[in-house]
Amino acid sequence: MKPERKLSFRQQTNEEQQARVAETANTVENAKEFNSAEELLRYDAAQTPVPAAIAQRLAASTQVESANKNAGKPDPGPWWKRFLR
Amino acid sequence: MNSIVNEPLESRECLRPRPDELGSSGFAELYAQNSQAIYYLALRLLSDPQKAEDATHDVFLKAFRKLDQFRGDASVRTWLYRIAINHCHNLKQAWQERHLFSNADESIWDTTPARTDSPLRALETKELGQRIQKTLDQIPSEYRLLLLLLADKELSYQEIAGLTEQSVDAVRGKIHRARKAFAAAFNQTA
Repeated sequence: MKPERKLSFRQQTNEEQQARVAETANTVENAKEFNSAEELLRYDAAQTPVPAAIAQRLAASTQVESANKNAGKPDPGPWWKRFLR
Repeated sequence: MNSIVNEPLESRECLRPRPDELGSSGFAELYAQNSQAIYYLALRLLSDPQKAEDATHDVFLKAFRKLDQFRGDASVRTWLYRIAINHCHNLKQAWQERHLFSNADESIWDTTPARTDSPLRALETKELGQRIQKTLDQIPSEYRLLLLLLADKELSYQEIAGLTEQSVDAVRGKIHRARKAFAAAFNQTA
């Protein structure tokens, strides 16, 4: 029984080692090289999606702006100017 | 590796629509063409996705309000960048005043040894963005802005010089130091 146990432990260790080797190989495959900072930033920018919420908020804001313009309402200006009035 | 970095910046094509092309109907197109660049700049300058989202919204709303003031003597992208840089600068200044934030000694990066000709190695993981942010937060703000603008293929050195209010020669010199500072900080974050 004992040798069998040892064998299974060795087998387990081998499997772990193989998994680690595969993981390392995978990591090396996934590693990317960039020639410069701007190239890295360019890659990062391409991977960074713009949140869809911005377009939705902007559409609502520009609608309000256009409605105010059409109604002849003047631009209220920044809050601090309105506060000082 | 076929590097786009070797492509001379001066040869890059710029977006130069005429002012009369920017009616409100063209605003959606203007947003579609430039939102990625403006959001990324805001994200990396402000180091906060929520603040970057708010800033991008505010930048485009300002642009919408000032469309009639756009003279067309610069590219739309450059014009939007100018609004974005000013907006982010004001936000950061207000935040720093509230939190008495002080930058570490920025001159350290000019003397830190780092090779700029060796490639930057990174694993393709979701942590890459965090590592880049950490790196950008460590280098002087002037270098950060220069590198972010340089990363945009649509901007020429002339336009970067205009946006950062300095000569083209000064930009070239600082970009060299900025790359060095970035490489040193990036390798430290590994």
